[in-house]
Order: sequence, then structure tokens, then C-alpha cells
Amino acid sequence: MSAPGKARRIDSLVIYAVAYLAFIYIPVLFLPLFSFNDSTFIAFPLKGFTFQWYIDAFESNRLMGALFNSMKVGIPVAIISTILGTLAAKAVTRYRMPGKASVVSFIMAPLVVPGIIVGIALLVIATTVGVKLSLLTIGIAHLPACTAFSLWIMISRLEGFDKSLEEASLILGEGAWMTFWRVTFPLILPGIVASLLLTFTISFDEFILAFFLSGSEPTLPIYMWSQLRFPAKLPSVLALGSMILMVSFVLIYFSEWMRRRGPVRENSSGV
Amino acid sequence: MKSDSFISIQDVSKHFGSVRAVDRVSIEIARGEFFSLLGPSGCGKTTLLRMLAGLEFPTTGEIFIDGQPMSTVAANHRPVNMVFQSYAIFPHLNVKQNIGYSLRRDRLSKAEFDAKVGAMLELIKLPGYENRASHELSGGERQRVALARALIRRPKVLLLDEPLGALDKQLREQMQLELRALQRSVGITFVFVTHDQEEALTMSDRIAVMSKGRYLQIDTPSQLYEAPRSREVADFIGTMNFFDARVVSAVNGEVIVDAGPMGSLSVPPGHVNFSAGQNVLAAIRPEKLSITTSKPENGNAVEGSMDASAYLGDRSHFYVRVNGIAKPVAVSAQNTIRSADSAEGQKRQLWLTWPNEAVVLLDAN
Repeated sequence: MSAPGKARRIDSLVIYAVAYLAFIYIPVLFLPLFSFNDSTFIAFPLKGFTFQWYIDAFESNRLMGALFNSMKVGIPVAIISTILGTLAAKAVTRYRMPGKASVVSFIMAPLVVPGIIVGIALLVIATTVGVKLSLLTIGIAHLPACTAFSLWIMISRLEGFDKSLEEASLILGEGAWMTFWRVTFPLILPGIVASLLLTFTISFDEFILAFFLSGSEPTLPIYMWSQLRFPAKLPSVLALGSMILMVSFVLIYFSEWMRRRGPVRENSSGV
Repeated sequence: MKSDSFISIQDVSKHFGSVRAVDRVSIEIARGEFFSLLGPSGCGKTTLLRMLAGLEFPTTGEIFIDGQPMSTVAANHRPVNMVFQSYAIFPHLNVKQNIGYSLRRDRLSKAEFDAKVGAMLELIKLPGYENRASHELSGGERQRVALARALIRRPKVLLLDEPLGALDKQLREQMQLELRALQRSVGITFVFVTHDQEEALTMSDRIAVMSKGRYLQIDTPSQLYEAPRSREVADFIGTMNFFDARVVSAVNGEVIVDAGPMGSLSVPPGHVNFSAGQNVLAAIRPEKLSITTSKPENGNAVEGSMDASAYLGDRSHFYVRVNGIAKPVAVSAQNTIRSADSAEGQKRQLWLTWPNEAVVLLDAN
């Protein structure tokens, strides 16, 4: 009696899972689909297969310029926010200090504060103080949220880490600096790589803050948004979007893999 | 002992907020000694060890190692090394890199480095283990690698924080003997922290029994066991029967006490001087009591009845009820004769006997 019931239950769960994944991914997959379609109009039926839009994308100076702008923001933001996140995570997990919990929540807050509010606030400050809007202002705006992500990753990495390993290094004659490089850093390296990839992706994809704070040099999301007004340019934006989709997916998958890789369990002392 | 004192802990306290983890402790440890800090968890023994290591610093007081004050010396500049309770084997390094971790600054050639590590592997009886990954080691092997890593630069002092706690019983007993033999052969001063009294008795030259941030008694294992100076020490080390008693007379050190139901006891001279009329505790170890089925002609004896017994293979434990004493008296006897059933175990009516020397007198408080 129970066997068919059980089978039906699994069937409905499988249908739900498939429907859920379809809901997430099918709309996104229209991007690569139309990027190979031999027509300037984004509509069915498909006309034919072409690489033309990819070639156009690579030949467009403004589009490539926007791509490099995004990298110019994303790479330094990833490095700086990962350094800040790692140092903060080390302080939080290693030292006793008053008000630690509230400090952590305040650092984490940018993850939940709506970007549009932060964007307006920063724009008001920038115009009041008279700071010229540029890639620098975008990067500064990206730092808090990226640092929060990095802190979150690095805390989970450092919490699964036996403190006596660092003490052992100290007693074996190494100072704090060499202890960090010889023991702490190698053990948290997977977390650092994951943090770099994730923070870069966040900065690279970010639209709202960049929209408020960009000057004459647009980042890629801003440029793509501006191109939507010109139907003729749209297919090459789709082509670029497809490539970014691929790269983002690979980066996120790789960072998750790095983050989970061999949680360091040195003291389970397998007797 | 004081003259060639090598580690000198002078009036050291450590406070964590309002908690006095270590409270005005002074201990002198000799060069080459195997010294144990013994006590229940939370007694301050690990905090004291961490202060010797330089991982904590005293709130007040000073620690001298080989004549040098340590209060401004960081852990990485002290002539000490340490084996951690968790062993703290670096998981990203292999056995050779773990053991040779502290040799970086010596700038050895590869051959010299390998030779030094190889010699340590010989010492800990794990030759050929150079390239094993840390996760491939068993608990006992991890313990040995941690030991080799700590000893490779020949520290003046080796600190051990319950290093045998994670091992199973058989391996632990084997490592106790090996550790003791190793300590004799390298001649390094060992300071050993444990909560296992049997382990401390087996391995140590001297033991400090600690409780609530202070030490109760520092003595050799046999003195701690045979001549405890307080009820707490007598209770913590092994099992002890206590009887309320009152001093009748004290002449030339020989003390006569009236121990109520246990009768009048004559106790040979001990550490403490007692005076007539004083309330004391008479204490007797279980193995120093004997059980007989007939009333002995002379000597100390008291009548009792069997309350419970436990057979432990090499010996048996009996609990004998004596009129007028609330707690059954514990008696331990070697099972020297093969017999499925101990004859005494079945007898309801019996006598306890003991020699005068078995009795220890303690302050009653």
C-alpha cells in the first residue's frame, strides 16, 4: 500500500523540482538563444544561426570599454574587500572584545539595506562634498556590501579552525606575521579564493549603485541598460550578456567548490 | 631542591575578569624533573601551563626559567616547547614539514634538515614516516609527531597539556612508559598537566595537586599517596576511608586517638603535631585493611558485616558496614588465590584489621 503512495510522492517532488529549475533558468536561457539568432528583432520564430552579434560585441569599442571599466572596479574591490573581510573575521573569531555581536551586525547590514537607498545617500554626499563621479566612486560604493560578503565567508572558514594550531606555531618560534603566512593563510586559502571570486562577481554585476554614482565612464551593466534604447544594438548586448552569464556561472560554481573543499578537521584525532 | 631550581614560579596569579584562575601560586621545579600539575578541570593547571608557555601572562607575580624573568618574553622567544591536548598537527603539512617546522630560521641545507628530522623519527620510533600526510596518522602517531616537533630544537622545558587524554587505555599506558623513558634519555624538564591521578602517579618525580587556583600539596607520588596532608588530597588521590577521631594523648610524636566505633588507635609520628583534645580525621587506605572471619587475638580490629562487593579480576572491592559509622568502609584485597567465589565475600559476619602504620591523621575541617 505504501509503495505506490511513496512513488507518487517522489514523482510530485521531482515535478516540483524540475518546474522550479525551469522557472529560474528558462528566462535566462533566452539570452544565449537570441544571441545566436540571425535577426535584430528579439522575437520568435527564430530566423537562422549566426555568430555576427558576438563579432559585433568584440568590435564595439564602447562595449569593450564598459567591460574594462567593470573590471577596473571589480578587481580592486574584490581584493580590498577580501583583505578587510579576512582581517575583520580574524578579529571576530580570535579576540574577546566588547560589543562584538553588534559590530558584526553593523558590518553585515549592507547586505540587507536596499541598494537604492545607499545609492541616493552616497550621491547626495558626493554632490554636496563636490566629489567628481567616476569609477572610483562606484568602487567605494561597492566596498561595504562586498566586505560583508567576504566577512561572512571568512568567519565560517576561521571558525572551523583550531586555535591551538596558531599557538603551536608561536611556541615553535614563529612570530605573529610568519604564523599567519605559514599556518593561517594556507588553511584559509580556499575561503580567500571563494571570497575574491564572489566579491568580484557582485561588483561586476551591480547596477543600482553604479547607476547613481557613475560619471562619464559607464560600467558594463550601465552600458547594457543604455543600449536597450537602440534596438539595432540589442543583439550584441545579448551576446555579451551570454558570455558574462557563462563566466559568472563558472566563477560562482568554482568559488562554492573552493569554499566547501576539505573543511579542515585536524583534531578529530582518528584513533 | 630550591638551590638548583630551574623553573621558579613566584607568587603568580591570573585573573580572568573576576575569576581567579590561578591564585598566588609559588612552585620551584628542578632541572630535568618530571613535574605534574594534577587537579580537576577548572583548577587552574592549564592556565598555569599556558603562563609557562607564554600564551597567557600573569596578572601578578613572576615566572623565572633558567634564571631569566619571563614576564616580557613572548611565547616565540622562550626556551620552552609544548605538546597540545589536540596535538595541533598542521593539517596542510606532512610529517617531515611538521617536525621540522621550527628549523626554518636555522637555514639548514636539505641534507641537514632531513637528517635532523630523520633522527627525531628514530627517537619516536616512526622511521620512514617523512612523507605521510597528517590525516593518515593514527592518534598515537599524531601524539608522537607532536612530541618530535616539540623536541627537535632541544627546548630546556617541555610542557605537556593532557597529551594522553585522547588515546585509548592500552595505548595510553604504553605511551606513559615511553614518555617517561624519553624524558630520562633527553634530560629535558617536563611539566605535565593531567586530571588523571593514576597517570600522574605513574610518571612524575613530583606532583602538585591543585584545586581552585591554588595547590594543596607538592610531593612525590608515594608521599602524596601514603602521607597526604589534607582531606582533599587524600580524597583526590585514590580512595580513602575517613573516621572522625579525637586526640587522647600526644607523646614524643606518638599519638593516641579515640576513633569511636573504630576503637583506640595508636598512630606513629607524622608531619603534623597534634595536641590532646584536638578533633582530627583518621584515614586508612582500602588496601591496608584486611578482612578476617574470626576475631583476631590482638591488634586493631572492628566487627562489621558485608554490605556489597565488586570483583575486578586482579582484586576485589568490599564495602563493610560497621556499627556507628555512616558510610560503609571500603576494603580492597588482591585476589592471590584462584577461586570463582571469594570466601570472604559470602560471610555476613567478619572483622576488619589493620596495622598501626596504616593510619594517617589529618586536620578535621
